[in-house]
Amino acid sequence: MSKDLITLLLISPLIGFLINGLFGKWLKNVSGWIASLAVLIPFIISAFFVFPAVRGGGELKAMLYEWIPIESLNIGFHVDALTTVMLLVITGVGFLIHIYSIGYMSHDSGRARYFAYLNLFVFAMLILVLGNNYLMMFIGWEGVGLCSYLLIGFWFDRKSATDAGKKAFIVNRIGDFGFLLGMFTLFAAFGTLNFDQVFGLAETNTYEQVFGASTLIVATLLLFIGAVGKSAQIPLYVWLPDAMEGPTPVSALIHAATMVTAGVYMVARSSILFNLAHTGVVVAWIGVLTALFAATMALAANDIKRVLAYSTVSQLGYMFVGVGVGAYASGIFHLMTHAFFKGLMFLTAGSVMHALSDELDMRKMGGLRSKLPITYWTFLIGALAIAGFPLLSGFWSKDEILHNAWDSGHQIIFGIGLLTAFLTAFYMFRLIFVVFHGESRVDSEVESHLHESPPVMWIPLVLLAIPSLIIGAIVGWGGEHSAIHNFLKGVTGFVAHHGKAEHSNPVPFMIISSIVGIAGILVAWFIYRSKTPVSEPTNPLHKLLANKYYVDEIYNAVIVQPIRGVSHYLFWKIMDVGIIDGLVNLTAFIIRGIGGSIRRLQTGVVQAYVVSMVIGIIIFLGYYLFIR
Amino acid sequence: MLTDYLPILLLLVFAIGFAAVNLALTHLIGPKKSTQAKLSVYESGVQPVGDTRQRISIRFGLIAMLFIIFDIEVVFLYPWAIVFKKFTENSGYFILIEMLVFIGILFLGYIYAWKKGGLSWD
Amino acid sequence: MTINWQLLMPELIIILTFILVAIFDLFNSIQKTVAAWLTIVGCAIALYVSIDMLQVGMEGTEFSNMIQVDKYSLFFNVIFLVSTILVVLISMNYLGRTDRRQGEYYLLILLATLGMMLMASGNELIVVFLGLELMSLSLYVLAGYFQRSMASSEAGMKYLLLGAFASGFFLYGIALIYGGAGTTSIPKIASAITVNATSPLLLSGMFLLVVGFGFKVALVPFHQWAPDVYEGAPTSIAAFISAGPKAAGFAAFLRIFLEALQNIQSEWIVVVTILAALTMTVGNLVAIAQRNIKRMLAYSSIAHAGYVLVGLAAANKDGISSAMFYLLIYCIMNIGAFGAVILARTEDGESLMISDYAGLGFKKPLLALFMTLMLLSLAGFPPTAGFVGKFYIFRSAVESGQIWLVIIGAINTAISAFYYLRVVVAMYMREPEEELDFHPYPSLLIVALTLAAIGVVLIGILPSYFLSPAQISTFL
Repeated sequence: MSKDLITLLLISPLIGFLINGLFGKWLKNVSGWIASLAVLIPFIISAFFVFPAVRGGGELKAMLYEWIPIESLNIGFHVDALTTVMLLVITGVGFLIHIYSIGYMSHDSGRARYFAYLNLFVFAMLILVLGNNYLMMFIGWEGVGLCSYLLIGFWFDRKSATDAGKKAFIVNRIGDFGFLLGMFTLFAAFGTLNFDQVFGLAETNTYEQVFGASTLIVATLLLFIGAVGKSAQIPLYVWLPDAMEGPTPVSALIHAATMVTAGVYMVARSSILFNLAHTGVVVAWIGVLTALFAATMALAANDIKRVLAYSTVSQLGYMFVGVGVGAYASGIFHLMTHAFFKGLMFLTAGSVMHALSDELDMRKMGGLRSKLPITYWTFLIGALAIAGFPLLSGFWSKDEILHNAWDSGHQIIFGIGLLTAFLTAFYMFRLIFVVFHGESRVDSEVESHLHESPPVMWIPLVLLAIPSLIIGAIVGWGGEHSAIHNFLKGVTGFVAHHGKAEHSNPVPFMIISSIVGIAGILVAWFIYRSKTPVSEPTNPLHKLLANKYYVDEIYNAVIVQPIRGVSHYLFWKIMDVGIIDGLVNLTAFIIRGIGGSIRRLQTGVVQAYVVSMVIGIIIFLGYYLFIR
Repeated sequence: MLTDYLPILLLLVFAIGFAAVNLALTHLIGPKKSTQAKLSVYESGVQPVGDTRQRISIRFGLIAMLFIIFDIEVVFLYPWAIVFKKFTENSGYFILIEMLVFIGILFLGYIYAWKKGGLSWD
Repeated sequence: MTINWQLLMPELIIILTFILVAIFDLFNSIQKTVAAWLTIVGCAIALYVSIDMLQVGMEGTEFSNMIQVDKYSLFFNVIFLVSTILVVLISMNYLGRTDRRQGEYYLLILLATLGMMLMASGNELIVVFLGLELMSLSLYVLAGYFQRSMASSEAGMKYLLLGAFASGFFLYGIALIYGGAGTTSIPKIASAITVNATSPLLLSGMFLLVVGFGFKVALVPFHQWAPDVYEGAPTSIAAFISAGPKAAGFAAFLRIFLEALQNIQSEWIVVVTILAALTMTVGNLVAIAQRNIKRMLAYSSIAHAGYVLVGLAAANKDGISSAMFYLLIYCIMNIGAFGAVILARTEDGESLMISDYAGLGFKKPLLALFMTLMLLSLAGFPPTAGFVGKFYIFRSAVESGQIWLVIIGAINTAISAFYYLRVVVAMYMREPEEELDFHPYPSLLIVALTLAAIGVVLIGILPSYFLSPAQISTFL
């Protein structure tokens, strides 16, 4: 029964992918609905998993089948509370984004391909969160990476799109390499990649210490490199802003709600290892620095999707702070609320673009509030949520993370997080005031056919706005005793407090973060209420921010160019062409020579064939008759 | 083991030796008087016509093959006829039906060869 | 004396189909495609019956122990019938509607299939020989089916001459075994030959059987007919010869050597190991030097016979089951590869040079996809069927201690990737040198290739569903 549920859950996006991939040409508009249905079915099943009874009390384990009889190479799945949360986010937000895409992509001739990729992505993401071992996770991990690459470069006739796709792919490879090494380390140490076995052996301290006492530290840090790549943290965040070249619903689904959070999921899943290795502090510091760094870059960006992209990077940083300080449930909580409000904001940005003929520059917008009322109000809800406005969803999850950072003795992280919260509120409302308020700076030609999006697009917006408003209060009310904490209890390991063991009173923290959030909104209101944003940055700080700290340029100068030079001259010219190619060519030459000379025996003359057969027979017969 | 086959080897040697010795003896002892008639090609007393190496149409081969196939199949009827009576006592006329099926298939083959032009010269 | 006809159901269905096709073939007014469809339907019913019998587990001997129907023979029936159905599907468009002589083509295919089934279920060297000859004679004619084509006639002639030569050795081997064991019945031979039976004549007989089978399954150095015949024969027949008959040869090979001659295992393992290593190595090395894709596939199929032989060299239960499993996979993927070659037809006929495939990835994406899938599977990349097949073969050999053979096999797998991938690279990364005008896709060929592709992927992902029937079907 449970096995069938998991099978159905997994297989329906795969079938959707196959239908759209194989018969897309003939499906026309139906393809989007098929793809949506293929995600709706898993969503309904996931909803059942919320009840522990369906999962058989706590954890549902299903060995789907044995691929080949080698430990940890088997296709096994399990569903626990953590997986259930991820499943709901992926399929729930994913379903709404699929519906939205039907409207968004309605004029695109490649929509069958688009929906096929989207379904394939959902399939890979489900494998990632359902796998009961690191290998399955890695397969999903690579699968979502591939789909992300395909979807970023979806409009492959644009050079910027294919370049962005490539960048995402290459940067992710670096992370994946870390993940792979981490996996090897784990396998060397534990002899298995199965979650249950690895964690069990780690807790009882019975494993091969391949790197001495620091085995787990090495393993977790290597795994975390993978998370840094996938979840766009310092220093591998550079691909995510460029990834906005893809269709906007893709940005919403893959580059905001689901795929980029895979790193957070992985750390939460490996919570036991991170706790034992005490490497969470690294995670938290990388997270908080990324949060601040990305938020500052969002201040000066003028491209509406880039603002959201930096904001995503920044919020992912928060999640890593959460899981890094040992508040795994809080990190996952923020992952969930973020999926709703950031997915919502990307979709509304898409709605704005849709209305403005794909305009991305905020300086060419303004005063859209009256023209696009639904878009405006839903975006406002999203922005209030992310800014931490009291009682909205983002408020609860962000506050919990900051509170836990303080409680675990990381006061500096708490401080930086608070500053980031202020910046977040500021740049979000800067965006709101510039885009929706003030005077219209829209081209008159575009303005003439300005229109609100069709229902197939705005209904998902409303459906995402509702959880953005209330989900935090529903599952997050009550701090340590809230619904989400009870739900995730026992799955994400113990909450490790490095500092105090006792929890401090959460109310002051709530008040502080509320004040900070509202302050950010007010400052933005003062500055951007009526002011037209400057077109070119003048002061040096602004210039630095607008140019994204020149990180891309620095990477290019410090890493890409030297590597290219070294690889061109040293590796390619000398090593590769000279030595390796030489060796390979020599081998190939020898093999080809042997092959070629044996080929000569194949003369086409029957008598010669008979002779060769007879020689073979005589040799063996001689052996049996005389030598034996 | 191989010694078991020694009599066969001996027989082989004896047979070859016998033939060879006889041939050699006739060759050595027999008188050799060659005449025109003796050197001519022997064709059962008929006057030889043309060269012996003549090309024969492949169709002869085809007809011969078909003949042999059907001939051999029909030979199968003899042992069947011998055991027929014994089998009818035990298991009724099943053996008759069997043979009818066999003949039927054979007949089908015959028709097949006929229809496909296996029996026509052109 | 009653005969259990149920046991012989698959064979009887094939015979009945044969008669029906022969009757239909007599009427010129009936479209010739009817013959093909009848063949497919007959084989499909026989396939269904075989699978059903396999699941029920029907076993027994018949005709005074001459025929042994067991799970082993039924599993091979499945392989033969699947191959035959696929080959008929790829043949229908290949021969075209106009060919008047198509009836014979399908009749001979049915006859060859019957011969294969006899070989797998033969419990008697004579029956195995009978099946072998029934199959071979049909194949000789089929190889020369294109009478007007010099290459096809040459292929038929060569195959006949060399095949007759090999059959002679095979028969001689049977005679010597009879001399050594006093019987030709497989179970009786097994009990007649003791572990220390080392009569040189018996061993020579055993080796001559190796020669006979070695020829049929194209082992080095008895392989040289294969490339010439594959190249000259109609491509659909090349697919047929490379698949079913090879499986049939191995079916009898495995049964005779591991059942009848199991007591002198230590004697034949030497030669089998040497031949396996030679076959894999020579097959793969020479394949690299080929420019014609049919010849390349011919050498590749020689190399694959070497991989299967590793299963025999393992000489254990796992070896048999993995060889059976591999043969199933091999038949599907090899027919698929030949089918993809047929798909790449131009106005001038078939495009057989590997250089002709340049740029096909973009011009003919579906064709390139099929070809790539089949070649990847032949090369043994996960998650295709070829990978799991090789995995189990090599594992069984490791278990029986044939480490060196496995190392040679692994090296050969690496070598083989070179020439398989060369075609893939040509299709996706090279610009075509000249514009070739490819035929539109024929629908039935696409059906066959889709079936093969589904098979290759399905077995690759769910190997145990196909392996476990093989594992319970071994005769050991």
